[in-house]
Amino acid sequence: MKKAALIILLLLFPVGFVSRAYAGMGVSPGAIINDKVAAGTTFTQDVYISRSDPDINLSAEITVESSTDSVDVSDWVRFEPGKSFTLPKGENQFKFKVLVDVPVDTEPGEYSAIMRLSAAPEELQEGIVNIAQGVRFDLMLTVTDEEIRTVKVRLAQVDSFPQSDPLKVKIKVQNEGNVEDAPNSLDLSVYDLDNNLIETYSTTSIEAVKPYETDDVYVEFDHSLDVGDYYAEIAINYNEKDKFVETSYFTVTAPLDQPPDEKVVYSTVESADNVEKSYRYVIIGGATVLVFGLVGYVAITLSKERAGVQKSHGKKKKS
Amino acid sequence: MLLLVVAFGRIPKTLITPVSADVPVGNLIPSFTSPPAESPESRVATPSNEDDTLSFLATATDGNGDDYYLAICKSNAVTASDGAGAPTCDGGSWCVSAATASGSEASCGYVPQSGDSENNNWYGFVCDEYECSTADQGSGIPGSPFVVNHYPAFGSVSNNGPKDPGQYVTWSTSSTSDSDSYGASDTVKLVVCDSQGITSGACDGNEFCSSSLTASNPSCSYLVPTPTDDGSYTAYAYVVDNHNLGYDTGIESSNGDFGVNSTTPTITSVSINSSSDINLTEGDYTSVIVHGTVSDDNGCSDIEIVTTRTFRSGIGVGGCSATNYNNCYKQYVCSVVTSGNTCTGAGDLSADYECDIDFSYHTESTDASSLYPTENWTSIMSARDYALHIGNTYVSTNVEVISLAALSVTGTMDYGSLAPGSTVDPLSVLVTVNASGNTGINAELSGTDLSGATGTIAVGNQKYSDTVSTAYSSGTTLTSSAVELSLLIPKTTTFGSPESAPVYWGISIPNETPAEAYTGTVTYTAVMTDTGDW
Repeated sequence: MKKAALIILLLLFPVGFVSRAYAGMGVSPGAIINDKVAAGTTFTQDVYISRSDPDINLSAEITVESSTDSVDVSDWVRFEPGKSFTLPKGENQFKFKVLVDVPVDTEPGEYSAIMRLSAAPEELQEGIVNIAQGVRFDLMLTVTDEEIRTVKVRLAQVDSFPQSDPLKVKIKVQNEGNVEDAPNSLDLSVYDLDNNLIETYSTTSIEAVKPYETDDVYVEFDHSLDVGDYYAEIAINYNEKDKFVETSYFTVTAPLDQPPDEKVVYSTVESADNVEKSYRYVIIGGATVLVFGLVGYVAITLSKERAGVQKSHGKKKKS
Repeated sequence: MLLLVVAFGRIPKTLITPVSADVPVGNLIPSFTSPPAESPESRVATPSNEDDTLSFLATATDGNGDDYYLAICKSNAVTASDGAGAPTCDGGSWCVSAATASGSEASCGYVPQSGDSENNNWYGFVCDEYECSTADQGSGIPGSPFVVNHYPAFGSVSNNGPKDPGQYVTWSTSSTSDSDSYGASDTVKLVVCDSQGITSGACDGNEFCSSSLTASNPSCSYLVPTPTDDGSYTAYAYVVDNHNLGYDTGIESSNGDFGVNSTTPTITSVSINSSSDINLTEGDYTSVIVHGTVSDDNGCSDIEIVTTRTFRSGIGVGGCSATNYNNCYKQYVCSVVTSGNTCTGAGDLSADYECDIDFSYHTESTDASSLYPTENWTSIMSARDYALHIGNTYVSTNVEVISLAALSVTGTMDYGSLAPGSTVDPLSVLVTVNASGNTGINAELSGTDLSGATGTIAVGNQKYSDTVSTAYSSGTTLTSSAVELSLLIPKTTTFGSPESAPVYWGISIPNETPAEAYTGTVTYTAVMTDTGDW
């Protein structure tokens, strides 16, 4: 009877556990390593969380656990946009920043922490064992009191530009050192398509990039290039001995139009006396100034002899 | 008249005009009212060209009202026709006009010949049919002599083509000069045109080049523009002298044609992923763009195909012989970009190309955490033109593929319907953990209590093991803290067959657990293992 009752109980009140399968999750890089961090600096690392099947929003939570006995490294670490955020539905990759503020009094040595990000559905499915995903990405730093200057040029190019603009060289600079640094110099030679050297430029003034960061830096030069096609031989010296060389094709296009708030139109009229007169029309602010009368509006145009506004060009009309 | 001659003696010859016996009595000799003149005037600076007609003009009147003839003679001697029409120059004539009414302008023309001297005296006479005037050689520039300009000699022409765009094609002549030297030696120049025809020393069409005037064998050069399509181009070579008289027959065109070489494409500004490190996507492909600028001095339309080979630097280009999605992505065909530096056709030198490569999630990493920390990823872009010339260029800056620690879970934690006091023993509920990144992994496991409407099943009631048929009592108790399970799943090398490891689960339901639905969570956390375990 008891057994029968139990069976009935099971049939009426099953204790069941069912879960669904979840697609995966990954973290890149799998570990954050920097062996040349200076005390008093902030080391920044972009971290990517990726999902092959981002079909729902996930609530992400980051925990930090110091694995250095002498120092609580977790106090050094912060995150942008924060320790908690949403991994949005539909996005295969989500980027956040890990910022490590190394205290200025930190002794040289190795410091580490375990960082975990776990992500669960914003709403758990009732009555099941939900499977949550997580990733672990350890932090391993070596703090040094040595000033390390290591800059790498990753890209240099000249994009096409209007003749009215300066010539602009875009440089992607990766600072792998622990102090603010920049390439030493940049030399630029511009050739036409017949391989004639047209102009050369040089500078030692290149904007510095913060330590541990990669940034786009721009160098501008005034030029006297005509409209047309050119190529530039770019040579960037860095680290006192290294050189990055690149060839970049570009086009100097026609100058940009005059500012849209003032448009000047020159009109030439040939009179019966076969004499030229020119009139200057000024259209202000993209709209014509109108005077509305009782019966309509009158457009104000330039008259022949208005002083201070009109200038004559070419031959004057014979009186 | 005869009696007068006898009475006064001999009459001086100067007073006697030689007349034929048939000269009409009272005939008056025509006289110039407007002296003879060349038209156009012929002089050293503006000579009369060989084969161009030189006209002589004059006006005369005849006292008898007779018609008259203008004779331009080579010597100072002419004989009237004695009633038979035009006079005859004793030493030969340049030209004689037709009969012209008294008071009207007479004209005649002469076409200079190759055998003529450069400097030619002429004597103008006006004659009626019986008598002629004395000679008049005109005056000033339109007067005698007239100057003949002869054709230059044009031996042969050749050029040093074919040349590349950006190089000079030079046409050279031989046995080419001008022998005229009256006043100053004539000089010659070479003019090369893109179509047939030359006027006043200039091409009727477009000019490839022209030389300066020189004593002999002129040459000129033409810079082949960049870009210019390869092939043969028609050209017509002409030689003219300093009076723009050119050799108008024969060889001016036949040796003018020149060739433009097919040049090898060049590739610049090659980059992978915009020179940024590559972060892969768990369990999936990641689009990686290889970008480059392909230029061809024959024009961007001459490019047939652009491909790229992308690989981990340690295997070398030769080691990337087939795409394996781990360290080699071979022979991806690139496309011209749809905006920016497109190929607009003839006259456009370059175009940007992009190859879109799907990097698999298990592509080998090269960062500090990887098996290859001293290596990186590179790519070589190749461009082939229709003449089968191939240009290759490596990327300017190699990039890293960053380590991706990732896992996925397949299977369900389905314990079925359990009665209070029952236990899943041995651990038999199977969940598979897959390595869905490019590293080897372990998994950390943690969980929560299972909560029902009224009851709770503590997290520790769940146990797990990576070994099949593990007794419940021997399983690892699930906790709320992450505990690493040493699955040592190696790195996946095949997209559709991830490396994996099993995790077996069991649960014990305490007695008097209310019969209701329970909700909880188990978290699987991917942990990158040491590279030795990949």
